[in-house]
Amino acid sequence: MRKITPSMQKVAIGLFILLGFSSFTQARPAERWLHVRVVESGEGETVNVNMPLSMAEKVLPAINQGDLHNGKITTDMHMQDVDLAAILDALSTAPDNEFVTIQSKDENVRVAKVHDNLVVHVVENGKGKDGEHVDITVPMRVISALVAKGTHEMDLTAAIREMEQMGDATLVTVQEASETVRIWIDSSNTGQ
Amino acid sequence: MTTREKVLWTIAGIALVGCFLTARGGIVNVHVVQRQPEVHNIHVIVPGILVTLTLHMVPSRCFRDSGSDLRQWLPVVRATSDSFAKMPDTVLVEVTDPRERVVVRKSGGSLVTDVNDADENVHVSVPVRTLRDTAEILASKQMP
Repeated sequence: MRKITPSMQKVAIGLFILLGFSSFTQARPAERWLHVRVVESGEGETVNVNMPLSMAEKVLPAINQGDLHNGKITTDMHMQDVDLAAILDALSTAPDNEFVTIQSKDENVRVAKVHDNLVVHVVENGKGKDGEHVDITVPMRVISALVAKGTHEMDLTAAIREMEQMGDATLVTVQEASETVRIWIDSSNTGQ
Repeated sequence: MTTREKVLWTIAGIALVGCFLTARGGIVNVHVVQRQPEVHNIHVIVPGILVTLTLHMVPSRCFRDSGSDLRQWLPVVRATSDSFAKMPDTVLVEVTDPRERVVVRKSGGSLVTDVNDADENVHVSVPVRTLRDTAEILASKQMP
């Protein structure tokens, strides 16, 4: 039987490290991108913004301006004696349900929890076909991360960290006669 | 070695160091093509290292009364440039309307801004490293 020489051992160790490194780099999750697209049909203006969530996660804690400090916004969460954090905490543990349904001559509003997402749906029907449609879908875990229990802060960095774990999803769509807004997350840097 | 050879070696050495510093700092490229009302074609190419070296030579007192405090934005500049380095080349912001198109993108190690409209085309490419170094120098010069 052939003896294993020290040089063969070195080569084997080198290959092992190389393979380990390459599998580590391949296993890394793809970069998640936040996209904003605004299309104004009246003026014919289009705005596209593409930003990696990892960049937002690193940059936000570095901004210390106004109410934004270390990636958190200090806010009065007990607005008019309403504990928003407690409400959101209750929402996150509640089963799927319709929480608010308003149907009026001017608009229909629906707030519901569907498949662990908080869904807000607003349809303005008072202006015929010019009415505004707003759809917001945010995973409950993002909201829970955003509104840390027992604090008066909104933790934007924690929310972004949660967003990085999300699959491809549309967060916000606003449609009105002259303008369309879409905010979504995916792994493409072009947002196409 | 003759005097002529010494001079040639010195020039070659300076050129080599210059190339190294230019490659390290990148190139600031500004190209403006104006079509109306007058035709102008301005193209400025400056090594990024030259920008930072020039700023080093400007006396600090020139920046002390500038009003804006850059120091508070330094962590943001650092975090942005670190993330920028790891990001693939991509369009970050694109604004298009019938009259104008503005694109801000990452290309290589540079932040590139293109503004194109009927009257003029503006292309500005600045290495992120130069932007960061510039911010660091200006902030240090603002210190009392």
